[in-house]
Amino acid sequence: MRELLDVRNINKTFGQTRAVQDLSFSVQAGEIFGLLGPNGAGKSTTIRCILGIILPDSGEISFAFSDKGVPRNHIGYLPEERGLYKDVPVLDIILYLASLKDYPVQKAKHRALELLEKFGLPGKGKAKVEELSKGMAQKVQFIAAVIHEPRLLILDEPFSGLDPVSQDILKSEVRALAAQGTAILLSAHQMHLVEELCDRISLINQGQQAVYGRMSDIKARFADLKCVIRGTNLSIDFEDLPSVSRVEQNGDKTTLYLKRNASMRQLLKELPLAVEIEEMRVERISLHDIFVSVAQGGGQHVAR
Amino acid sequence: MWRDSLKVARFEALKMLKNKSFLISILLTPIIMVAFGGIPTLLQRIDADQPFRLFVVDELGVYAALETLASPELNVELAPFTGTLSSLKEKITGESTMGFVVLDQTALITRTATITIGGDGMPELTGVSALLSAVLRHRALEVHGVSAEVMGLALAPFHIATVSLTQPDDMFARIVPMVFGGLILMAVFITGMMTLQSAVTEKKDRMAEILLSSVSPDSLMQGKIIGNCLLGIVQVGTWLVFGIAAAQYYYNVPVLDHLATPHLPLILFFALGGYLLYAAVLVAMGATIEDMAAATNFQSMVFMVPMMPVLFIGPVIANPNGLVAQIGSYFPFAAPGVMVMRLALSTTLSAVDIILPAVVLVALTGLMMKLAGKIFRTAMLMYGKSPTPTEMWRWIRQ
Repeated sequence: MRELLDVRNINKTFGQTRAVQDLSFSVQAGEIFGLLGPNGAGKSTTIRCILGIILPDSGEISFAFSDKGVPRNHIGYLPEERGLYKDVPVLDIILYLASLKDYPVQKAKHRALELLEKFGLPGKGKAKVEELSKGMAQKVQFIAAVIHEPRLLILDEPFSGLDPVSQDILKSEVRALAAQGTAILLSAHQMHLVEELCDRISLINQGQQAVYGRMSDIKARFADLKCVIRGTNLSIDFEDLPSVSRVEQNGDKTTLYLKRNASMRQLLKELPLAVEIEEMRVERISLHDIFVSVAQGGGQHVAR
Repeated sequence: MWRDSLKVARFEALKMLKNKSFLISILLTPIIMVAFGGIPTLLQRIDADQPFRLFVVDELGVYAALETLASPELNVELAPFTGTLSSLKEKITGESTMGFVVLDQTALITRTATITIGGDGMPELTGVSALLSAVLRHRALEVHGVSAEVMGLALAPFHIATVSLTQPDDMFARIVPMVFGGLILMAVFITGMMTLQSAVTEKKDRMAEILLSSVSPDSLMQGKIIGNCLLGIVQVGTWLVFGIAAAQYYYNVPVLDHLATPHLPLILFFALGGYLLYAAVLVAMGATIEDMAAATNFQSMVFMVPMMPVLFIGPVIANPNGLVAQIGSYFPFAAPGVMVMRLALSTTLSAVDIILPAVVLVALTGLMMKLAGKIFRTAMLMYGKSPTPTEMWRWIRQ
C-alpha cells in the first residue's frame, strides 16, 4: 500500500507544555489507522498539525498527493468538538462545506441526498440542524466530512454519542471508504471498535509515542496473559507471586496480569491453597488493557 | 486565498438574507428608531390630556390680558383667585396638575414671578411661563407710561436667521448629506457588531474547527468581514430606498440631487475604511468569547470602540473645521466617523485635510487586520475560557 500521509518527528510546545514530542507515523491508502491515547495525550494537537490549522515547531508532515502545503481539498475531517450551524438547513451546510473543498455543487448535492438516505435521514435536507437529534446531527457532520470524497479522512471520536445501530452503520461506512482506497486516521476511545477496525495504531501518551505498529504485531508483542478469578480473595496477597506483575481486585473479581514469559502452569503452582475459585478464565490482554497500562505510564514499549 | 474568502463571504451573506428575522430587522430598525424618537412625546401627551389648572392671584389687573392671550396649545386652564393664600395652598396641596402664581407689585419690581405646584413632578409650563413674562413686561411698560403702539413695537420679537457664506442656503442641501453620513455610521456600527456575532456563533456552534480544516484563518476572517459588509450595503440600500421615497413624497425633497455631491465617494471611502477597521477589531474579539453573556469587562470595553465617533458629534457639527474636528480626523477609531461628518458638513476641506486622514486610516486598518488575524486564528480554537489581555498580547507578538 502507498503511504498517503507521512508524519516525521514532529514537535509542538505550548508555553511550558510539550504537547507533542518527536512523533512519527504514516497512514497508507486504504488503511484504517488508529491514533490513540488518553485525554490530553496530544492527539488533537497532532491532528491540527496535519490539517495545517496549527504548525508544528519542528518535524515534517508530507502528503503523497501534494507537493506544497496541506492539500485541504483532499482531506475530510470530523472533529471531536461536534457542531454545525444550528439555524441553517442541513443541505445548505453540506453544500457550503463541499464548496470550500472546491467540490462541484451539483455532484455534492447528488451525493448529499444519497448519503442522507443511506444514513437514515431521507428528506432531512431542508431541516435545520436545531430540529435534529444529537445522533442525527452527528451523522450529518460525518456526511459533511466525506461529501467531497477525500483521499485522507480524519475522524476524531466518530462513535461517541451514537447508539449501537448508528455505530454499526458508521463502522461499515468507514470500512467501505477504506476499501475504496481512502486513508483513514481514526482517533477513538472505544478500544473494542479500534481493535475491530484498525489495521495499525499509534498509541501516544504525554505527547510521546508509546506503541506503534500493526494491530496483530502489537497484540503479539503484548502477548501477556491475564487470569481472572472469581471468588472472595480480598485477604490474599497475590502481588508476592513470582509470575504476577500486577493485580486488580474489584469485589469478588481478581485479575492477575502475568509477567512476560510466565506461564499459566507456573501460576497454578504458585497459587496458595486458600484461594477461593468459583470461576477462572485466562485470556490475552486486550487493546483496552494496553491503553490503560500506557495511560498509567507503564507502556514505554515501541513496536515498529 | 481570496477565492476562499469570497466563498465564506457569500455563505455569510446568504445565510443572513435567508433569515427572516434579519430581513424583518432591516425593515424594523428605521421604524423602531422613529418610534423611539416619537414615543416620549406620545407618552407625555397621554398625561397632557389633563390640563394644568393655574390659579392667578392678580393684584396687577392683568388677568383679562392673560386669558385673552392664552391659547389652547398651552394646555393650561387659568382661573382667577381672590381668597387667602393659605386657603389656596390648602386647596391645591397634593395636586400635581394644579398650581398658583401671585402677580403683584413685588413681581413687577423684582421681575420675578413664581408658579407654585400643588404636588410632585415638573409639568410642562414653558408656554404659560412665556405668556406670564409677556404680560408682565407689557404691564411694566404701561406703568412707565409707554404707549400701546410703542409697546407693540418694543415687544414684537425679531427673527434671527443664520446663513453661511460657504454652505448652500437650502436647509435640506445641508441636512441630507449629514443624515446620510449618520446613516452610514449607524450601518457601520450595526454591521461591525454582526461580524462579532458571526464569530461568536461560529465558536458557540463549534463550526470553527471544521471550517479551519478547509480554509485558512485569514480567509475565514476576511470572508466574514466581506460578507457582513455586503449585508451592510443591503441594509443601507433598503433604508435609502424607503427614506428617499418618504422624503420625496412627504417633503418633496430631491434627496438624490443633494446626495450626488463630489464628496460622496470620499464619504463612502471613509465609511468603508471605518467598517473594515471596526470589523477587524470586533471579529477578533468575537473569536475570543463563546457567549456574549460571558464577555469580560475588557472585551465589553473593546465592543464600545466603534462608538467613539459619538464623542465628537457635537464639536464637529458646531465647527467641522475646528481643532477638535482636526484632532478627531487622526484619532484612531474616531477618524472614520469624524471624516464622514466633516465631509458632509464642511465645504472648505483642503486636499491635505482629506488625504492625510485617509492615509492614516488605510495604514491603521491594514495593521489592525494583521493583528486581528493573529488573535482570530488562535482564539477560534480555544474552548472553555476567555483569553486574558496578556495572552492576546502574546499571540500578537508571535
